[in-house]
Amino acid sequence: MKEGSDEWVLFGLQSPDKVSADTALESLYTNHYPFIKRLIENNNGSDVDAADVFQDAIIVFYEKIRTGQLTLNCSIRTYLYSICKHLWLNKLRDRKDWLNIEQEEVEAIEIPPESFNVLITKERNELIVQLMNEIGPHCKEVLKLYYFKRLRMKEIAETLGLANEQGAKNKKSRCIKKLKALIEASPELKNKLI
Amino acid sequence: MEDLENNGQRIDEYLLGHLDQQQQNDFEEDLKSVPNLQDILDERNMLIEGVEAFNRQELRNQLKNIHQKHFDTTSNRPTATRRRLFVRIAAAAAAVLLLITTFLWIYDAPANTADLYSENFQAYDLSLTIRDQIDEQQVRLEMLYSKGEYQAAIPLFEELLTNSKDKSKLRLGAGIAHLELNQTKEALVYFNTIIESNDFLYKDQAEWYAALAHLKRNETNASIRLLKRQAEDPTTDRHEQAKKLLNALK
Repeated sequence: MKEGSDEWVLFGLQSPDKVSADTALESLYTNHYPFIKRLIENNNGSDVDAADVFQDAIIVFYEKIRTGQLTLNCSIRTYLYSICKHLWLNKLRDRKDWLNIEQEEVEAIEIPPESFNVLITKERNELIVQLMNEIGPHCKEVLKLYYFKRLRMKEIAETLGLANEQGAKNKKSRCIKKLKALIEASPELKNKLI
Repeated sequence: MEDLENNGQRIDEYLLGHLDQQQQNDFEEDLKSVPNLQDILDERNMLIEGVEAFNRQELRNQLKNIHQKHFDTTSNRPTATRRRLFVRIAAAAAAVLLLITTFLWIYDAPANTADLYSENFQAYDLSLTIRDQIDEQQVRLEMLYSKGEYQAAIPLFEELLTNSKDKSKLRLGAGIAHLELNQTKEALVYFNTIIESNDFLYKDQAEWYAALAHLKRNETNASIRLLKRQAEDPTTDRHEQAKKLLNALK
């Protein structure tokens, strides 16, 4: 696998190893951002708009990967370009601005509209986001690996150097208990969540 | 209790799509017949959505950092004078580093407790305010604590402790403030109260900072005693740090 290739990036982004995942993310960003920046700047946008749109696009793209829903029949660049185009057209529409993107360098593919739901955060989620900062770094990591990266318990045990799968299960269960206790400890918060 | 744990694990596997078709069908049958299972499922789903939202926010921060590192042209670039100053400072730092390394190499001295304390101490990220529940005193305390203005923070901790339900968190903050002011005896009173209360949300943290307080007092054995539990239990908050510090102390 050639470093920086699409295959390498996809493999790295799904890796349980933090260094590999971070390297792949950085490579994805630096390889494709200049291209997207050009698209946005050529179509009434600024570099700040370009960064916002591109970061949203990576979040949409990453969501597809982590939930196993990505069927990539084109290059990563085309996929990201298609998401960015959709997002940017929506922004232009909101601004009641120019609606056509001209001089396309690649042909965009169809991105299902529900893919963009990931960019909306519900209020109740924002409250849990705040509590997540209180459960400690190790709990944050375990919950991230299990619920966000969707690793199996065995992989989590290996990644965190725990003795076995049961150790990972216990740790996850303890962390969820902690999060629930924090919700319970704040009745006003609890009312908003349930 | 065990049933609850098992249900929790099964619900997680269902929601994350880790069950095979048969297990999935069985679970959906149970959803219709087992009382409260649907409620537990809804609650777990809400927690998972929150965890996902948190991690997406972390991902967004990571992307912003990458952008800043590679593409942000607005951040200050060092001027020629500043660059020269930087080179001088770097050269001086290298010389000092060389001296220290030589000194350590000649004497091969074991790390002392003061060094170990400063290597391991990092103030706990104490978040006291929750959106929509803004309390002026808490906001002020959080600000003082985050700036390291511990002397001014302590009376506020004491005041809030008299009428707050969240006592362990405040005790932890008060203990850390005393610890950083070299008032280790007072710090230990706060940490030990949390440890004795067995409040599992803050017990691991309290033990860790109590171990550091003993280190500051040169009470190595007491520190080792406190670190052992977390070093042996990988499910604790400070497991890795406790293991490392314990090794350094032995």
